[in-house]
Amino acid sequence: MALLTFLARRIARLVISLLIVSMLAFGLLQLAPGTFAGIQAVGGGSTGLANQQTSGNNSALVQAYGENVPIPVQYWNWLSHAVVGDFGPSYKYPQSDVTEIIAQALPVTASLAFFAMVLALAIAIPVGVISAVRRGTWIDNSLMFVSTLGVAIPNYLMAIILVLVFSVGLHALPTGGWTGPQSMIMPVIALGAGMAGVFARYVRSSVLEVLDEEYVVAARARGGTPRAVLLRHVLRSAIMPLVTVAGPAFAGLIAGTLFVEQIFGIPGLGQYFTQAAIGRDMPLMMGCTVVFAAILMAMNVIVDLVYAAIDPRTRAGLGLSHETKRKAAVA
Amino acid sequence: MADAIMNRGPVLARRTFLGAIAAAGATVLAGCSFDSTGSGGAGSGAALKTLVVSVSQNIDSLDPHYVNNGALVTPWGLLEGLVATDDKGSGVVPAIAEKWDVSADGLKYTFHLRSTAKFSNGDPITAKDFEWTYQRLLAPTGAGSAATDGANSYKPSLGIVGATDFLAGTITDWSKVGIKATADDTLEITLATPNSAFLLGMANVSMLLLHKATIEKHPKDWMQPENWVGSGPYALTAWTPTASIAMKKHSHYWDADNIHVDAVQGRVLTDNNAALLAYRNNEIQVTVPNFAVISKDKDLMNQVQEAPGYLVYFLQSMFTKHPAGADARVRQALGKAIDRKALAKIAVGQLPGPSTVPQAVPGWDESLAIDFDLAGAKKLLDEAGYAGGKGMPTIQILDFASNPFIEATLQMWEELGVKTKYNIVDVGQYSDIRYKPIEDPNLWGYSANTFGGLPTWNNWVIDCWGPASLPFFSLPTDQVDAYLAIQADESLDGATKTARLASMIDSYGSAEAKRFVKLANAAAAEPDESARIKGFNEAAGLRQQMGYQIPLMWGPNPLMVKPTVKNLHVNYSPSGFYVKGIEGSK
Repeated sequence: MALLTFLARRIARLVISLLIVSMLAFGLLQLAPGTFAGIQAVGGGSTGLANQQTSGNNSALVQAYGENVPIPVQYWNWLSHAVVGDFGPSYKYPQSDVTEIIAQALPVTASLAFFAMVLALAIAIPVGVISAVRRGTWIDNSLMFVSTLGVAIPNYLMAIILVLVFSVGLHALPTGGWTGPQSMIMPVIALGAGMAGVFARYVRSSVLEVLDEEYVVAARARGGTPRAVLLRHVLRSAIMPLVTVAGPAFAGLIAGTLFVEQIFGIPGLGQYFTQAAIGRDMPLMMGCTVVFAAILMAMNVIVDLVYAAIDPRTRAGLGLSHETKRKAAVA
Repeated sequence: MADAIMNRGPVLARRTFLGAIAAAGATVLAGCSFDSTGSGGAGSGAALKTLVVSVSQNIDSLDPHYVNNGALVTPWGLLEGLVATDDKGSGVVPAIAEKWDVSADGLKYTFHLRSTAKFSNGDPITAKDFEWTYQRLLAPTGAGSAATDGANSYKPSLGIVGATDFLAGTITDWSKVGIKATADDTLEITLATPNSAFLLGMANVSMLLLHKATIEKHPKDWMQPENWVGSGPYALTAWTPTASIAMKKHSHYWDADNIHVDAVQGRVLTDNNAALLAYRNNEIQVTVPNFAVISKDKDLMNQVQEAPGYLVYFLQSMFTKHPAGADARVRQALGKAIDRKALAKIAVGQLPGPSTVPQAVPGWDESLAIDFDLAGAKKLLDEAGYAGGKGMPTIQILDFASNPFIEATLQMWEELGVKTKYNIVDVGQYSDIRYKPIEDPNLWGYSANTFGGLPTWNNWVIDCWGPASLPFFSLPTDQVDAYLAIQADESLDGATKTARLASMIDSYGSAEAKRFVKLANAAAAEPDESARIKGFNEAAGLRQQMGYQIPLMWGPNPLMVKPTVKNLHVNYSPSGFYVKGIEGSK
């Protein structure tokens, strides 16, 4: 029951937050300079097809999308459709509904983010632990140097380096495209490498903290092998801060795949999102914003649940423990 | 149960955890569909079976009736028209029309369609299909207006009787438009005035043939591969707007024997470095060259093919409250103070562009060129009362991306003693303010622009800064808002709006601008070719004297093509080439 109450409360909060996000996004889009029509006309010149850009073009847009009604009414019109999953047709891709675009593109981006996260964790946890255990040695210094390098190299640069090495140099992988699982290898590395560097530093510092805890010293004193102490006592506690950052980081990865998608020509949501923002494609922009916000919020809920699952001490704080209720009843 | 789970100790067994991760991974992989274009590669055998080309923009639509990036790919061979451009791109060859007759007065073109012409589903192509397609193009409620950007792709310079009026809604009777299917295999097009560039204009992407039955059956999804029926040699097999497009040769095409490449793939690579890497890696055979990177690589530079004079980089004057903006001598001085040879050295691959009409246009006259003449520019400023730049407003160039050659232009203007400013703004703000009067009375300037197209006088004097648009720039600044308000007025019907705008130009437009309109229209209507060229040169010269547009550079339509690809001819269409005749080997 506590879990259901917790979930119900968090979902209600999520819905309210999404509503606020959508209002803010809608309002800010109204304040942003330029219109879809005007921006299209700017680009039209280079395709040699543009007729004269006129306010008349803009008025066609205004009429077609009901932008001649007051903004609150426009928002209400948008919201009343959005709640049933209908974000309307995209301005830029009039043959597609925003919902269809998101349904096709989000799994692509989510798969990149997911495997990048798995890769980052798979690298960061052992690297962080080894660094902490070998604190101050050349191993620690080397691993932290590489981690810092990973953090410092932006993912688009990493992508180019990977292409130069594995595609142009070794001819082992295609430079881009989205033709099969092999198309994911370099994008996932490009996305995950930086995150691995960040996580590794987190793991190192938390392992160092935990190593000095009394219960770890006691475990050692009781004759526990270093490996057992590390796995059973140190790592379990040290992993907690990582859980805190990993959830939002995953949402950030989903929203941040843009450059990597662009370089590798991957049909993910990042490309649509940026183009929508630059081109003032209001329906697509709103759809992407709401979806990204929902993912971020959902990740926070999941992080809380994972927290509660791996650390009983946090359950009380989240209202997930009977003990909390009993204490409240006594009071 | 849930409580029990939450109140137990640590519950995530390693096996459960790994299982959950694997399940999540499988779920996301299952959710994402990979492209069905195949990996393609740069050919797979002795003969070139698949041509892979990079596309520099997302392919947002394939509808040729409004301005979109479909123009980058549909002319490869998805759709075909009555005529197609020849290998040089400056003439036409028969396509679906086997031949045509032109009336003695040059006004009526009668196209005779091939009896063997068929759509990709085997349906025969008739003249009625063309009439329906062009009615859709010109319908005020058709694709051009329903499309969200409102930019119809019809080229007014074609000069078809009643076309622009029908599009504007000032006439509603289709029979008054000069396009008629007089028999199954005969299409008549009547022009308002003779136009020697008409046939080349008919090869434009906007005049390609669509399949009526498919569009009526699938008004929204006719562009999807499963519904696609096209008029060109290739049928659409896959399309992901942000990633790729694929097309495959079909057997119904009337000239299938001359289609040597089985399939064409377009790979969307918006990052030009990524495109170059894919090219170097032999994954694509055709791409737009990144001159800044390849200029010192002789091998790659040798693989560049160009259609010269495709693009003009120019500055467009903005409206200012400062009197300097209304003085043609000041605008001329700014034009003369630019060393275009120096600009072209900064922007590798481009040529100095001394006139708004590129030299590639047949009959281009040297007298159109604006010479770099700093002393002359200073003298003009002096005559205008701004000696040494004193009293001049700050001159800005409005742009939405940083361009070194624009910075160089500003530095050259500073030689006149004027203060300058490079005003880089968001593209939305750029589109909002470039035609609106500048509030600050001590600020004036130009917006940075490009325009591209066919090397014809009609394109560069009628379609671009032509009679329909140039007089607007001659309006006094205090009348601009009123003009824009009429344009934006949704309550006006097409005819009323057109009449009111014309009335404003008549009342407030400059005498030179009105003279330009007369000269340009007269040149367009001139049946004698040499007199026509002379007239266009005169109109273009007058336009340059007015100085509302300052040319900077001429750019080609360039493609980098692997030596293994033979018979690819770069043309003046946004797609760069037509696939017919291309062959090659791995």
